[in-house]
Formats: sequence, structure tokens, C-alpha cells
Amino acid sequence: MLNKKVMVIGLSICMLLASAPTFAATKVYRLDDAINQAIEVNADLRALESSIPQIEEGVRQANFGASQQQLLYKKYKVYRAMYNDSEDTWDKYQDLSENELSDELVKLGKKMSNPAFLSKMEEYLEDVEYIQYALMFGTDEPDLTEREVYQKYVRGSELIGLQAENEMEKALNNIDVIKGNVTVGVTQAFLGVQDLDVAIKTQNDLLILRNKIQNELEAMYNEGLVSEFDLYSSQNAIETLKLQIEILELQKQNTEYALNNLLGNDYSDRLVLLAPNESEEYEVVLSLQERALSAVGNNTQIKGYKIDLSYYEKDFSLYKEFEGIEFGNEYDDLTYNINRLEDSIHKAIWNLESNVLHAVGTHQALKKEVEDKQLAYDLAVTKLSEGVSQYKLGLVKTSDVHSMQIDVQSKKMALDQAIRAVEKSEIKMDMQVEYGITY
Amino acid sequence: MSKMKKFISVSIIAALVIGSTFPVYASESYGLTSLMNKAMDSNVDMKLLKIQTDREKADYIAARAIGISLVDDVDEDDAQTYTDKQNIDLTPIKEKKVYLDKAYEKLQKENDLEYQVKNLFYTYFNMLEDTRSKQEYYTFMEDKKEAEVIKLEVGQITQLQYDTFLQSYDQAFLGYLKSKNALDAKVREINIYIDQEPSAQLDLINAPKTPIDLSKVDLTSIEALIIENSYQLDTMELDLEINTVDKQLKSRFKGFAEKAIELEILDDKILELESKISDKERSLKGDLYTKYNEAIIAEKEIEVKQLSYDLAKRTFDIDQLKFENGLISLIDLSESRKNFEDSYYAINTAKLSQYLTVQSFLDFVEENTTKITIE
Repeated sequence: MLNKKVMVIGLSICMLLASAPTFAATKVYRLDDAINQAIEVNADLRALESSIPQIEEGVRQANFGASQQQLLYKKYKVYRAMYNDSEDTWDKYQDLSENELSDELVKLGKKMSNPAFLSKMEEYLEDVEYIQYALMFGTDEPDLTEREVYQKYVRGSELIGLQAENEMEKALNNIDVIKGNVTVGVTQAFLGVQDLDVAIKTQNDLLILRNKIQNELEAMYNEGLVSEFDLYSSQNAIETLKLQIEILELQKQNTEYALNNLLGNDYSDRLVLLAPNESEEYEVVLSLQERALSAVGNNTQIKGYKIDLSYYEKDFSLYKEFEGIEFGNEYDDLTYNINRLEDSIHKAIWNLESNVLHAVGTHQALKKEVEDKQLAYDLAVTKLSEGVSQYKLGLVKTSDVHSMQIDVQSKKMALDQAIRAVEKSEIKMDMQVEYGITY
Repeated sequence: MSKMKKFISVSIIAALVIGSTFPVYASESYGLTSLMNKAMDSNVDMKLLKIQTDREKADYIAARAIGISLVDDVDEDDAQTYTDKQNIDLTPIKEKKVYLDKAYEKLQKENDLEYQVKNLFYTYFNMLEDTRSKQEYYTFMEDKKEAEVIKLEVGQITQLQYDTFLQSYDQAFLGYLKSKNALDAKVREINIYIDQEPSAQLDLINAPKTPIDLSKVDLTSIEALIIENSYQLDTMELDLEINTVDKQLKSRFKGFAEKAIELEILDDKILELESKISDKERSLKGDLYTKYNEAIIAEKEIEVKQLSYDLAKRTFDIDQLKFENGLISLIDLSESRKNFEDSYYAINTAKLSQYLTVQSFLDFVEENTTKITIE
């Protein structure tokens, strides 16, 4: 197996195709543009959206089937009632519409038994109607009670109608689920590229400083002021830093490939990712309750639970309406499913509310951390400034000044990262409110 | 029962009890290849996949053999003619797809197994090296212990300094024990993986890792090979073919032509597949370069760890001199030695990680450039 792999690599090395060099396009995005484009090109989303008309057709057919069954059932009830209770003649009702028949049924109920009518009905039902309703419900079981006929032939079709509607609502919710996943994926990759950009920039700044220090050390080494080990140690730090920058560059490339994939771009397209409107000061406008309410309203998981809950509740009400009993396996199953979903909804809401609360708290803490990092940076700058003055007076060693310089740079990096963490937490908070997404 | 009989039966029971409590297994020697063969042979899924692949291949060959259209003059009103035509025209393509899926699953499973065995095999040697290094450090501390006791007795060091040393000494011993324990657990894991008793003795013979010079890999050529041969594209193209042929058939038969909705659904499906194929091509190219970059990153991680090791080694050498001249304490020296040991282990771990990342890259290349065909 390994040889085969080496062969493939070897082959590709030998092939060295003289293909024309491809020029990568440069594409500029803000986060919102990137999310919109990724949603637009997502194949799963397109497939799901294009399947909606078919699902709609399914709902239409299922509802039509259910309404047909209900109509037949209504007719059946009329005939049955007439057969059981009427004292009138059948001919009177023969040409009436279904609604008219229903109205007449009410009147019929008030009348007493009429042997002539019953005889006619018996004859009619035996000859024609029995066959007709047997065909309606596909049964030859005239002994079934009205409820049994409903249970056997009508409820099923009503459930199919309910299921089709449930499937439709789920499909629409799934569109939002995919949109949410794409939004999270794009946001993470987008912010990931920006994070790596920041990291590369700060490491490069550090490298510039390290190189400067190295030059000074070399001069000092030539004058015998520092040891060979000091020189080596500094060079070692530079080499390490260079490698770390190369690694960061490669990681950035990989994150860009992932982002390009989500955006439907060629993997090698160059990306320029713009920061959110920098000048705007982020404000936590909404109250905690408003944030939580909006997040809960937009959360697809909760929506999914609610869709299922609504289905079971409708099923449950049909069951109670026609069964008239509150026990039995089906009753227990329906009650269990309703309780389960209500419980899931409560827990999901609590989790989301807790996430919203946590995000707001984290945002405040991160803002405070920026202040701390700013103070630490200012202090390091002051120390360096004093250190340089003392160095000129011969009070501190060169290596101490170098340490102070590196410390300033480190504190600057920490400050930049803290500012970036605040920006990211603001994006996270916005996504919670707008899409009910937590990540 | 005579005394002799009693003695014999007691001896047998004792032998049985001892035998069951302390099983003695013959030591098996494995190199990387023989361990891999053993893992392949003992894996039930692999056996099943081989049988299934052969069966799907035979089914496809059979379907292809009868896949000559017998019904050229179609009766456009005859549903049976459509069904016959569908069977003849579509079945070979569907069978081919089933075979392709199975053959690819087998290839992936083989690669997964190979990867797992390599991971176990070289992790074992890595841990063996770690245990040796931890033992060496413990011996180093053990050697110093006697001298420290004397120093304490003659008042060269305080009780606190001695206690601090003892703490480091204990940590060195604990580090060695932990490492040894982890190594034993790894042996049991390997035994289970190759379907042997966990406590069986295992004699692994180290094998050099095949070096791959990533700088010479021509990604453009591999990219072209992927587009030409990748199973992931082939299987989607077969899906496309199935739907296209079905659409052609349905268009010819009046019954279906009248049901415009069915043809529309097929049109949508065809468009969706075309778009997914082009998406897949893009994502495969991205995956190739991502995996390649991951392998390069892993190489660079070794260099970073090497630099760190070099620094730790030189620091320790200097600290050794300083200690001998009484400039630093034994605690400082042992700390320095520990850094040096840790950085050595970090290199080995980075090397293992790089090897496995390259394997993963090679597996990806193999799985996506190997054309699955039937001779």
C-alpha cells in the first residue's frame, strides 16, 4: 500500500505538468457579505429549497386525501344516523348536498321512528349504500361502531395530513438550521483568518525587535561584553519565531481554504477580510430580557421542538375528541411525547438564556481586561523608558534593557489580543440575538 | 481416595489455578509489516468487506453482460417495455455504483487499519524511549541522592534544601513509574488490536520510517489526478448518469412524458448533482492543499522542538559546569536536566505526529487518485 502511495507521489513529481500558472482572484468581504454569499451558494440549502414545492404538493395531497375521507365519513354518519333513527322517507334526502344532509340530520334526530322509512333504508343500505360506504372505507365490516370506523379509516388520513404539515414546517426550519450552521462556519473561519492575521503581525513585530537585539548582541559579543551562549540563545529565539510565523502563515492559508470552500470560491482565491465598522462604538442596546427573548424566538432548535410539540398536541386533541377517554397506550404515548418536548423546550430556553447572560457577562469582563492590559502595557513602556535612562547612566545592563523591550512587545501583543477578544464577543452577542445561535 | 490420588488431584487443581492466574504466553515477534498483516487478518470488518466487494464486483459484471438493449423499438404506451428498458439500461450503472462504493469503503478501511497500526507501533517506540529517558533521569537523581545525604550530615545543605531535593527525587521516580505504566497499557492495547490476549508478551522490532520529501511533491499534478480519478467524483458522476439515463427513458414513454412533474424532479436532481460535482472538485482541491499544509506544519513543529531541545541541552551542559563549580544548586541542575529530558520527549512526539500527518496526507492522495476500475 505504502509503495503505491509513494508511486503516486513519485508519478506526480515526474509529471511536473507544464500547466499554465493560475492566477488567484482577490476578493474583499465584510463578515455579513461573506455569510450572505455562503448561504447563497450552499448546495444543501439549494437542494432543500428546491424540494419545498414538492413537500408543499405532498401537504396539499395529504390534506386533500384527509378532507376526502372526512367528507366520506360525514356522509357515512348521515346515512348511519338516518338508518338508525329516521322515520322519514329516503327519497327526500336523495338529492341533497352534504351540508344540507347534515342539517337534515339534526331535524331527523328529533323525529320518531317510521317503519316505512326504516324498511326503505334497510333495503337501500343493503343494495346500494352498504356497497357504497364499504367502498368508501374499503371495508366489508358493517358491524363496526361509528367510532371504530373513524379510528380505522379517517384518523389515519388526518394524521397523514398532520404529518405532511409537520414535515413542511420542519423543512422550513431546516433551511434556517443550515443557514445557522453556515453562518457559524463562516463566522468562525472569518474570525479565524483575522485572528491569524493579528498573530502574524504581532509575531513579525517581535521578530523585528529580536533582530535588532541580535545585532546589538553581536556587536557586544565582538567586544567581549556578552557570552557566546547569550548570542546563541537570542539567535535560537529568532529561528523559533521565524518558524512560528511560517506555521501561522500556513494555518492562515488552511483557514482561508476552508472559508473559500464555504464561499464557493476557488480554494486559492486571495481574501481581504474587512473589520466590522471600526468607528462605531459597540453598545449593548437591548436589555438582558430583550436579548434572551429574541434569542429564544430565533433559535432553530427550540423552533424544531415547538413544531413537534404542536404536531403531538393536535394529535392528542383529535384523540381526545373522538376517543373520549384519557387512558390507554396511545394516550400514554402522546402524553409522554408532549411532556418530553415541553421539557426539552424549557431546558433549551434555560440554556439559551444562560448563554445570553454568560455572553453579556463575558463581554463586560473582556472590556475590563482590555483596561488591565492597557495599564500593563503603559507600565512596561514607562519601565523601558526609565530603563533606557538608567542604561545611559550605566546603572542597568544591556540584557535588562532587552528584556524590557521584549516585555513591552509582549504586553502590546496581549493588549491587541484582548481588544480582539472584545470584538469577537460582540459578534457572538449579535449572533445570539439575531439568529439565536450560540457557539 | 488414596493419598496418592488425593495428591494428584490437588496438584492438578493447583496447576489449573496457577495456570489460570498466571498464564504464560509465548512471546511473538512483530515488525511493522507483520503486525499490519496480523491486524488485517484478524479484523472481521475487513474480511467482510473483502467478501462484499467481490460479490458486488460479480453482480456488476453480470449486470454489464446483459446490459445490451434488447428493446430498440419501444412501445411508448407499454409500461412493461419501460420497466424492461429501465432494467437493462439502468441496472449496470447502479450495480457499478454499488461496487464502486464498496471497493472504496474497503480501500478506506485498509488505510484506516494501516494508519492505526502505524500509530500504535511507533507510539509504542516513542513511549519506550520516553520510559528509557525517564528512567535515566531517575537514575541521575538516584546517583545524587547519596551525596545529598552526606551534605546534609556535614551541614553543607539545610534540611529544607534536602527536603526540596527529595521532592524532586520523588517526582523523578513517579515520572518513571507513570511512563512505564503507560507503556504497559500500550502493549495491552496493541495485543487487543491484533486479537491477542491483552497480557501476551509482545516483542516489537522497530522499523525505520519511510521518509517523504514533501518539497518535491508536485501538487498541481496530484490535483489533476484527483479530478481524473477520485472516487468521490466518480460516484457522483454515476448518480448523474443514472438520473440522466432515467430522464431520457422517461421522456420517451408517453405515460411519463405526460407527468411533467416527474421529469421536472429529475431535471432538478440533475442540476443539483452537476452543481454538487463542481462543489466537490473545489473542496477536494482545498482538502489536498490543506492536508499538504498540515504535513508541512508538522515538519516545522519538529524544527521548533529541535531548537528548543538544542537550547535546553546547551543550558544543561552549562548548568552542569556551574553545578560542579558550586555556582548553582542541585535543585537548579535537576530542573535544568528535566527541561532537557522534556524537550527531548517533545521532539519525539513531534516526529511521531509529523509521521502520522504525512501518512494522513498520503492516504488522502491514494484514496482520491486511485481509479477504482474493473479489469
